[in-house]
Amino acid sequence: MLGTVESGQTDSGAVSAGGEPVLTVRGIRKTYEADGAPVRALRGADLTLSAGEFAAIMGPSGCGKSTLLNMVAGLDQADEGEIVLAGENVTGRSEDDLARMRRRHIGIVFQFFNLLEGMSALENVVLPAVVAGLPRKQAETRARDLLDLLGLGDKVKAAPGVLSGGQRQRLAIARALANEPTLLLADEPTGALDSEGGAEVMELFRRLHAGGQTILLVTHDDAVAAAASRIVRMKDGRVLSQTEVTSDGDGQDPVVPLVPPSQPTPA
Amino acid sequence: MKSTPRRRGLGPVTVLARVELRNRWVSVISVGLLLGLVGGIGIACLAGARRTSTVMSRHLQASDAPDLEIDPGSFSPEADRALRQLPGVIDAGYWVTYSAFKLGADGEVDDRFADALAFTTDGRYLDMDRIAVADGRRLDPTRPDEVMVNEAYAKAAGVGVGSRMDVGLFALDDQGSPEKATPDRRMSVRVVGIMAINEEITGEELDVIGRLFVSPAAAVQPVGRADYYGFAWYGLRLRGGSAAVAGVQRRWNELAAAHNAKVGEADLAGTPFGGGNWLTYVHVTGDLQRKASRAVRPLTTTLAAFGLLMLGAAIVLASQALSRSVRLAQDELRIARVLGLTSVQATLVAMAVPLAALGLALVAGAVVAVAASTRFPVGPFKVFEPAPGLHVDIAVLGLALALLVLLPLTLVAVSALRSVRIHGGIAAGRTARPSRLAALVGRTSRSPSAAAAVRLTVEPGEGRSFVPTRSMLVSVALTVTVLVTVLVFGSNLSALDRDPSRFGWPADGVFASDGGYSPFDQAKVTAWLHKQDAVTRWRLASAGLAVIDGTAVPSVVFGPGYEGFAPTLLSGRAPSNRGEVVLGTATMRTLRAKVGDVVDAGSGRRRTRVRITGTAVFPVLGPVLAVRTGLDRGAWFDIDDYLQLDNIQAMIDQYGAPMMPYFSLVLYDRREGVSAAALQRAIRTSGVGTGSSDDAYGVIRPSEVRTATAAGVDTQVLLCGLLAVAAGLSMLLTLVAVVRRRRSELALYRILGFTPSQVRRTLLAQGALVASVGIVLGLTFGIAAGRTLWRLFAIRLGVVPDPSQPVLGLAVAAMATLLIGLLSAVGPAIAASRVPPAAGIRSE
Repeated sequence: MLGTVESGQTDSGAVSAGGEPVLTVRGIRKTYEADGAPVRALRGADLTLSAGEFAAIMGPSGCGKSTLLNMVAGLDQADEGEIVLAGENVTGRSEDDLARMRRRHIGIVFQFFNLLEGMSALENVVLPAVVAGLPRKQAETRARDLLDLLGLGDKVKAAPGVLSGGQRQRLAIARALANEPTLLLADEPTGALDSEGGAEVMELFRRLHAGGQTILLVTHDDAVAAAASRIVRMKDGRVLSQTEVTSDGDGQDPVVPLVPPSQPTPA
Repeated sequence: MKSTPRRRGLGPVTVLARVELRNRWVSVISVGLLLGLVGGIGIACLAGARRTSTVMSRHLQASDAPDLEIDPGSFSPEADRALRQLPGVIDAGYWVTYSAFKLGADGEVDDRFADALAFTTDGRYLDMDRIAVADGRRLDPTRPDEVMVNEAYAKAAGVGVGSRMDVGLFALDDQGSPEKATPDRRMSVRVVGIMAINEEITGEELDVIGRLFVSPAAAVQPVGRADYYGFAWYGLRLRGGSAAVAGVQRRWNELAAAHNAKVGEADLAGTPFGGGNWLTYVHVTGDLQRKASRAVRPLTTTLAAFGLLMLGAAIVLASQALSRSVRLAQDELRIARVLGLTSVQATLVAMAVPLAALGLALVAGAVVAVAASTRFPVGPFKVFEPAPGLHVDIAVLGLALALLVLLPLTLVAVSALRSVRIHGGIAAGRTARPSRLAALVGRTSRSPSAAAAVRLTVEPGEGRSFVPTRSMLVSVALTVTVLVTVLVFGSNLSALDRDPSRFGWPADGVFASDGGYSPFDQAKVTAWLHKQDAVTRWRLASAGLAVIDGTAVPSVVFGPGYEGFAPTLLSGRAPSNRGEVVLGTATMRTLRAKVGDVVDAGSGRRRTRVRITGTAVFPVLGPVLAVRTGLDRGAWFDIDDYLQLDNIQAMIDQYGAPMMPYFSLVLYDRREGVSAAALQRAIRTSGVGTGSSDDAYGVIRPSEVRTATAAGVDTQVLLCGLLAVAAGLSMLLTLVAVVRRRRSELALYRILGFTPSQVRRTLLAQGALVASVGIVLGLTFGIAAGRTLWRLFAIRLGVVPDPSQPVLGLAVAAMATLLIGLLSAVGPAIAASRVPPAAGIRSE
């Protein structure tokens, strides 16, 4: 059984689980224009995530959770507020700066995988490392290690299209881990999977968390959120509440930590 | 904080570009080759148009053509000396007609060639103003047994390259007939080549007579034996080139006037002087070049327009295909952006396929253009091409290839930059903004099919569902515009062919006494004409050269008869009193005069001042093989002024008082039902003319009009056909793409309650909509463009510029466009109606 503990609010309104903050989101606001009418997607959202934390953002459709994730990833710009990732301010930077920031700090897993269909599994994982400037050979070595680690060692040459849903999402996770991201973002990672595939993927997230990976995940699914160490509930563009999840340990198999191999130093 | 690894900007670009090329190599090759083919044909047509339009000037340059040719009348040592000593003359050559006739098997003159002219030369046509060789080779000037013939001679005599024949040299009597049955000299010759003479190609049909060209090695030098040769033409090359022509021409007019005055005085004194009067007939090479240039203009304009259209089509095709390629890669590029690729890197990756395809197109286009260059030049001047075969027009090739590559590249780069934006998240931009027009039609239309058709047409979709429907609208509108432009232009060109008054020709035919060289006995010809039932009306006319403000101008004058037989007036009024003249527009430009100005006519002592009362399009009137009026060149004098011009007066003096006034032509209309050929035969055998070669002609078409209408209309019909096919294909392909790429949208319509027949009607309505937009825009812009083009062309050609509208043709074109629109939609409509509703819910 898993138990939950309500966390206290910080002075700034953000909730921290303690430890060094990896991500700080303060007063983020975002308004879209849709069919000529403004849609206020975020209305002052606050969030703090410490190193090694695994937070799950939950909330009804349209509450702003995916928008918040896009902001953190630098895929979208906030109208107001501040996002600090690993000590770097994300807000107000150019698209290219944000791209370079993503290389260093962010790995993303999408609901519909977003794999490059024209590339093999290996090439998909190699690409982020090459984009980050790692020599091709080293990038390949690391990609093979990651694929082995995630149980896809025999699929290096396979095209993503021939893999099962679970395998494709595992491949997407391997790709997200290619540059040892400071923060792993996941947007409904089990949304396109059957229950078996979903469980498989969530087990991976649990193990990565156990290995020390900081994770921020968006989901509708309570069972998925239960894998996190903290559940952040959003409504109408604001963070409504944050709940620490504690494990009572009865009958649960111990989680085997999954620690991705270190990135080799570029030659 | 982690350190940023060593920057390797192009590493990921190379990796991703390779993947793009690996995955899309079929598209690279097919698009590249297609663009190369279409663009290459376009470039070949553009270069071909340029090559065709310049062929005559290059031929003249390559053959050291003279700047000016003068016919001094018959050959004489005095004229020879005077011509060579004209100011600025750096080289002179001449040819003379030679009384040499083909002999039959019995050694007698072959009657079929009694009219054929033979020429000899001191080298002109071999080293100056060289004739072009249509077949065989140029004769060897050191071989007396080698001759060349023109096509008219070859056809009439049944000879070709390699044929042998006997030619006899005869002295001629006053009537131009051999004095005796046996020749003074017999030559056995071999035809080594069929020649094409530039003056013949740019002249009118009546100038095309059989010509036999004898080698200088076989020539009897004409000096001293005037009875063996006829007229002579001198080619003069001038130090100042074409700019010096007017001065030399003026000087020759003065010399001729002074000489002819002495001849007149000597005649009165009964002491013959200097071999008779000197004539002032001239051929200005610049005029010949201009005539050739404007004769081929419709052909070259059409060819260039077609080339531009093909090039434009290639550019549009390239932009569409490559933008589509970028859009196809858009999702993956956005993923790569999420993985850390900068916008510049992602754009470079997006450009990999377009760059490779355009690179291939560049090579293929150049190869096609150069390979197709052997087909050019086209038209009647092809034979004059000094360097036939493969041709690389660096300027056209470079410019066109640059356009073919850079324009699509720029458009695709803009599209790529927009495609790789990820603001708003990775899925941003997938939903296109809905069209207000489609929304309006949706609200107001009672037909769901019509509303859906408008939506499918004006909303191109995004990403993989993108269909270039707006480009199709533009390209169909553009195609119909070009089609209508060609139709309006072509119908005016056909009208020019059908209605001779548009090129200044007023009658059914003309009767020329001695080929227009000798005057009629006016009383005799008038009496004969009055008796002819076959002739409904007639008018006497005369044509020759008059000197106006120091420039020789081909001129006409009209005598008694039907006053409607006159040049077609463009502005002002006809000369009705002494002191009035009407000029052609080109003549006005040459003289730097305008309507209302007073100019000086005549030279020497007999000068008169005449006021320009209007402008006209002139008929081709004047002697065979001489400078004649035609189109925008000519002067129309009052009869009394004309008789005072000194060169005319000299001729009147020569022929004596009974011949006055001097009329050598009769314009006539024939009675309906009378055969033109029968009347011409009757005229030729009437005996009322005064020369040995009286002739009658039907409508005389200026060579420019003949070439323009023949070559232009054919090419335009071909172009119209190709355009219609291209428009239909473009619509068909786009509608097929609508069915393939908007499958889920079509299925959604079925889910929302559309019946299969409504889906069918939607696609048919889309075809009709696109065609209708094309018709409205095409008619509006095409008519305006066609009229403007025609006016510009007609003014430059020198014909009546008033444009007409081919109403019936335009209606047919509009109906055909609509039909093509509907037909091209039939197949896609059937396919669309078969899309199952379930296809709408099978996404992701």
